[in-house]
Amino acid sequence: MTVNGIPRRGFLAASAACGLAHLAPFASALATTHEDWSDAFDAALEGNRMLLGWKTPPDRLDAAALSVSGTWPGGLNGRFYRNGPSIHDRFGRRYRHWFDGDGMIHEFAIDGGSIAHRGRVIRTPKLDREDAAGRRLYDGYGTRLPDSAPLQGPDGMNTANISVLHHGGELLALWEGGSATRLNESTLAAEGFRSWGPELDGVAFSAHPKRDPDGTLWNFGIHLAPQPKIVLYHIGRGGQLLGVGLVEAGPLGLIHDFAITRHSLVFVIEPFLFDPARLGSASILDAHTWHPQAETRVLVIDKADFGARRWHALPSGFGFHFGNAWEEADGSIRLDYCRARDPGILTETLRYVMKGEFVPSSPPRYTRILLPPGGDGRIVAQEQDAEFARVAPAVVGRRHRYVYTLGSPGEPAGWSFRTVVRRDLETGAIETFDYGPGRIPEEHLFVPKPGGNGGEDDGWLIGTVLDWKAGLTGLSVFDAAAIPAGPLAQAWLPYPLPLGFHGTFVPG
Amino acid sequence: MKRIPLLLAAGVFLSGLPALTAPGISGAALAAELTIAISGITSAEGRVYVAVHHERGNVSFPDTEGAVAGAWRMAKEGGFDISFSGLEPGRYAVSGFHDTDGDGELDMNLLGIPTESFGFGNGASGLFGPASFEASSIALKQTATIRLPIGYSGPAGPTDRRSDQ
Repeated sequence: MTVNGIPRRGFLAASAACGLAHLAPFASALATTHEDWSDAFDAALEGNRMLLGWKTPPDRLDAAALSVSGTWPGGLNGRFYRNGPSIHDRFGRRYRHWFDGDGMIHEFAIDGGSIAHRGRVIRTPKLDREDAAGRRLYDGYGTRLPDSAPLQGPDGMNTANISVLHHGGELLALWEGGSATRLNESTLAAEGFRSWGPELDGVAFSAHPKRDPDGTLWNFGIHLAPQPKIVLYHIGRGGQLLGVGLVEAGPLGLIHDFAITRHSLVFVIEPFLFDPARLGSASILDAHTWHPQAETRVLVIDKADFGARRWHALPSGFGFHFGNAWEEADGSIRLDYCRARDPGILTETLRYVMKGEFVPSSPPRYTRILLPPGGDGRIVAQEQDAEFARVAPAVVGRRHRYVYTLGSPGEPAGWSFRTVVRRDLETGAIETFDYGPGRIPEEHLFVPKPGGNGGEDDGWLIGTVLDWKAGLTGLSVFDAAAIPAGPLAQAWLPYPLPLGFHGTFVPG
Repeated sequence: MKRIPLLLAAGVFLSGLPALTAPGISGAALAAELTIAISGITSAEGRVYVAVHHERGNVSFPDTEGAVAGAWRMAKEGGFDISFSGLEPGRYAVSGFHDTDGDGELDMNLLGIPTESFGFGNGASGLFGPASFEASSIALKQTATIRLPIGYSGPAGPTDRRSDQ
């Protein structure tokens, strides 16, 4: 790494040698705090090709006709979209957390077994300003720049990098700290922030909206400061706003996902809490404090009356994603959650991977929670490691039998997914396909078969996998009822994609 | 974040003048002139409002209840200067916003986050709220110019931390 042609370390050493010893404490703090991670990552990548999943791709990728092995199901036509942090390095500076890179929208256009891929960096106002300035201007969730520029609001650092939603005829890239970003379906170009109403411009819209079986959409947004607040959204089938709520729920921290049931919205507030007083020179992530002795607060809000709420306590833990939730006849709520012992995966594993280091952490496990009509919640079961849990669209918020997740074949160590799993909650059966060493699957989605019986396993599972040994990303399709048989077909890109987060399938 | 309605009746009345006499200040030494160099205006829609706070009123900065002077101009792309003469020497902080819809208020969302562009003197900023009086201020003896970038001020703007003092 050099600064104006002078090696950074050399510059610091030279400063001390020139009698500027009184600057040394400052200089060493600068070296440890702001030394760029690009070199360390590039060196580590040479020795560990698995890190390809965190390498920055070009801004634009196109592949016209992917090579397909197996037989692509004739009825599976449409567009599979994915999003995730991608531009981890730019202008010689590498972000210090996986969550910080600018988003990239990927489209797999599937037509009669012919599959084409387009990838486009999402040109947010944030990225436009940085490109015009020729440097990184803004802090990320886990990155504090030594010279970051002021913001006019959270959207000033919006990277649109977590998920993608197709609703009411619109394609939206989702972040979680600010607005959704509109995407042009023909060109995939970003077309500014989606406004749900004048009072809602710039208000957080999370990356985990839930489509109710009635076709309407529920979502939330978390604002950590100056006062912690949860915003609730109910959006009609056509994309029109049906209702908004503002909830004060005491101290908050990262809340990435929520769950819905027939009557309720469920928020799990883990004791990993944001303290604005710590924000001085810390990133947003580092201004969170883990309180393992504190209890987790679960907030259940009535969909029909946002003022009607009930609270439950749980032992502390940390998770990103829910599988699903449903209500029993007596008002109990069953909640399935990918939950770890602590937030180490967020604070350690997914931070240092950006430097090319794997720091093990407590793995998320498939955790089944019971919230009785009154009183404390109860952890009913903690099973094998599981992440990116998905259920069939027809059972979101309703009792489900099957859930599809990623998992690990052996002892999990934070981020070591290699398998695709179907859990049968009625029989306890677990069916697995192991992609094998050298491959990392990403979120796999359930897509109902057109003209099928609408059953939870009458569909396909579709998802991407990084083959880091071959240096390629592939798209797999499984028969959801026959996961162990392996993919029915796979389509391989001529290039690797960085590991991403979430996607959606739009039939057509 | 405190509400920053910035609409000062005095500012509205006096807005047509090239230089303003600050209202509400009287006394012997009203010889100083403060120029606000506004930049970063991205469209000619609506108006640009500024407010001037004296150090003695800094408790409420940037609440315009405590401002000693204010003005608006029709917006134009880029930037322009607004001067206030007849000020008592001392320390002054400034704030401003681009009222693109011309309703005289800094529009905010449900959570109190401004949805119109705003700025503070010297390009100062706050975390999850307004910048401090100190960071947004300048010492005025006879004449002084303070920068007031509004919104995201283009490629050079946010990194330009030059002081005009």
